[in-house]
Amino acid sequence: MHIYINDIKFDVNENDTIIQVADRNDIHIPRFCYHKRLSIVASCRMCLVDIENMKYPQPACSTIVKEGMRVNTNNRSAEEAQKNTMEFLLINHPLDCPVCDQAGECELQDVSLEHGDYKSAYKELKRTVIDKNIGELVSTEMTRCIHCSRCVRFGEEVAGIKELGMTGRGEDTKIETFINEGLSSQLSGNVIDLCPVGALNNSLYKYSARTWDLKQMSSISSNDCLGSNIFYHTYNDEIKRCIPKEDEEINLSWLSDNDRFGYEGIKSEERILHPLIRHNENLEKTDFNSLSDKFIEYLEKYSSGSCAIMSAQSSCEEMFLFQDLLRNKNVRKIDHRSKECDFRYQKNFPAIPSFDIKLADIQSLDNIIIVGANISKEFPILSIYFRDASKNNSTNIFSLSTYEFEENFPLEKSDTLNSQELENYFTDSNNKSNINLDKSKKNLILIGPAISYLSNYSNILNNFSEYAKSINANFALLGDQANTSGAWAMGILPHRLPGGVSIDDHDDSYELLSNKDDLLILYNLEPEYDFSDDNRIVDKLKESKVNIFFSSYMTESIKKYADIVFPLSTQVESSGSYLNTNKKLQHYNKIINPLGDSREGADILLGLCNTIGKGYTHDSIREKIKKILAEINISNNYVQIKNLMKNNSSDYLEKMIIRNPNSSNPTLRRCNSIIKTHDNDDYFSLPSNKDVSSDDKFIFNEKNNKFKLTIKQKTHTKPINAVLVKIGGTHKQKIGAYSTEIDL
Amino acid sequence: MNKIIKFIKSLFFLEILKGLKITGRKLSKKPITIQYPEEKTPLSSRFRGLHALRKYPNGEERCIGCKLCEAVCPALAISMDTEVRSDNTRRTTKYEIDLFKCIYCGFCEEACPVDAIVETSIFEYHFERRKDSVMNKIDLLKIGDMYEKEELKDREKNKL
Repeated sequence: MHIYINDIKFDVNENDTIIQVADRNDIHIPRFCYHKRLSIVASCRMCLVDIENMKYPQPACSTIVKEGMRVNTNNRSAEEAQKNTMEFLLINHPLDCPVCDQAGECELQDVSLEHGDYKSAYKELKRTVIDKNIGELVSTEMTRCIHCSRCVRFGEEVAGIKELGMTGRGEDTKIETFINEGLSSQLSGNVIDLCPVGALNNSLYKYSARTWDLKQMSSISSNDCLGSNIFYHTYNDEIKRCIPKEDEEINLSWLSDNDRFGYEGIKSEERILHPLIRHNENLEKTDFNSLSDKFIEYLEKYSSGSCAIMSAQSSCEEMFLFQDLLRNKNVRKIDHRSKECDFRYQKNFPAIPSFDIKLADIQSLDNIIIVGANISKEFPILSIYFRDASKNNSTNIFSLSTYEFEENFPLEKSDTLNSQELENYFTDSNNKSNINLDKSKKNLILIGPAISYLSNYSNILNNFSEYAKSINANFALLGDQANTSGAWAMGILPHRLPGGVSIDDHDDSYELLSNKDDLLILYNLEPEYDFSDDNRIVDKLKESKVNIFFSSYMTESIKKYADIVFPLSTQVESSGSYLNTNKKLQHYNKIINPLGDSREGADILLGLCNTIGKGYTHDSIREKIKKILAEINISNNYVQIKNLMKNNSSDYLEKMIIRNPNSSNPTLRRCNSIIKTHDNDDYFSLPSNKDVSSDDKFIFNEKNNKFKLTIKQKTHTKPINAVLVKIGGTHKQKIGAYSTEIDL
Repeated sequence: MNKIIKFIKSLFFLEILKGLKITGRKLSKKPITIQYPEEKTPLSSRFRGLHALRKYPNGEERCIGCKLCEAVCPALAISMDTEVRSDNTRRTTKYEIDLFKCIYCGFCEEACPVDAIVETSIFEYHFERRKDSVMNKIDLLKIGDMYEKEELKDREKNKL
């Protein structure tokens, strides 16, 4: 099948629209309402083209090609139609391009230059629309709106939350939120990119630069394990904004709010700008050389009694160098699982716990069971794929979790259970609410990172992977941080070397936070927020003789307990690579120069490695990582454990940890606009089979500690025997919807 | 032959007399020399001298920080930073013109959508320190205040 556009012959597929053919072949047709990933409404009439044997020009976005069709995009009739449409659109559009942030990349500006007229027949007053406050992230200038409805369709079709809508008719048409509320979706920032004019703007970028001054640099997001591709726009060595980079494998044209606005925290006042060393109770500035010498000296002194915990947000390069340095000095306790507490069967875990299905293949699945993950909050990009699957392929999606939440895609069934019930979900014969899946269908069981915080993590994994095997389902584990897969591959584990090679004489009774260590090294972790047990880690900091921190930000506990602090640059200020959950190694470059005297983690570690006589260079490390990943023996993700011990259920309420994606790493925790936007206390449910009333006192146990809880306020009552405690947030004292207080 | 004519001309001071003829003619006319700095030549209303930032009659600065002058400046003499002011408008936090770089082409004046940056008729100025050549926002606004009346007069003349 073929058609002619401007007398050039093009091969086309059936059901192609004219605009699709034109886009594929770089023929420009002006458009506003058409977007390749949204539905077609043909409401702006900008893409009118002339088709032979048709009386009037037709919209190219909604006209489907026919054999031998002859289309003209630039003859007199088409141009006349475009000129007239342009004049209509400009009737109410204000002439405030000099102050508009969209100027320079504005589709209306471009099209008006190409197809517009220099004069208008309209002499009456222009329309003005009152601005809406739709949240901290998106600022509005609604007078500029041309009613293309892209933002409305995005909410309905992609984000799954109908937040913006069109009210009124004709000149009174307005885009607004139905019930005066801000945008709450984790994908809300995408309307900024979609808006062809300057009606919806980026609040952080507002009036701070002009588009023609910006320098564009590509990078990888550091906020979730999918590794979205992004562009940073910089001006004068400052990040001005972040936009998605088109990537068919991961983030398509979209970006989550955390990625888009997550750079705000790098300018925080809490940044550590100099190497610090403890001198008479105070941390004082020093230089890198003396710090390195001191560090090596401590390592040699306490080698066997050291414990090194690294954030899984670090790059593969940092991870390799970190474990190489420490293993050379006989440090054996190296880990990245700061939020986990079940290490009993770590030997049985796969080499790289990962999400092995290509994201594009999610559409072809028949059943998906999500265990313990609020996909639309924690992995907004993944939720777009799930939504597409349930819409286009009518995939059944089930959600099992330890706390209540809402998803932006339809759920076949959702259950809120406590950890014991979750463990026995498929083994307990009494449980009649079980999900029965067909063996012959394509199934997927997806374990979310929040499950890894539970004390019966291995039991849950074992039982679910057994069930997955029995129904021929794919078994996938989502990583907690940007480079969790990388941490497993690079051997940031006590029982494995890089490449997943097991260490034979490993102690089975391993506990990350239990034993007393003389030397504690925390790499890019904040004791206040990054640990499953924040009391225990503070005790540990008190107990140990020397505490060494590699950190970008100063916190209370670093101020109190650190002996040496290496100032780390943040992810945007350094280069490295992330292994995403699909096991794709993605490299990112330095976007801006590190603040103050802070240095890239890889540089610091490379220096330390070379002081002990390793002749590494950045290139040799990169080669090494590639080699490790090529040689790694990757099997499936099933976790099979022999002689599994059951966890004893207790009468106490159990402490469960909510994973808060808006504060999963130190930089995000300092993004004021993100913290303000999303109600960080909103998704809790405190459950009890006992009748809970306000001012009741509860005791719940967590390892060896017992907490007394006073219930302040009661809302949900969902899973039995569970108290939800959020970590990673800033409001530590509040527990769940009850806003409880802990008395020790 | 030529040599002989040349000899006769020089013998009777003919060249000098020819020159003195012009001197004699100008002697009776009004001199065109101007005694600068006591006297000054008239300037065009479109003269492009030192820059100024203008204000509205109510005292509000005109500049909206659109950066068009910065973008159009062929000598890259202008640099500015912008912010959202408390009343939610776009304003500059820094506006600097390096007068050593500036070539006084007047493009900035042309580009300005709000007639904020103008080139006044001031052409007599000097710098005593090198860094003085960079005019900042405060200096430019001050000049704007001083020359506003003159500027309005010039604009009236320039009207088509």
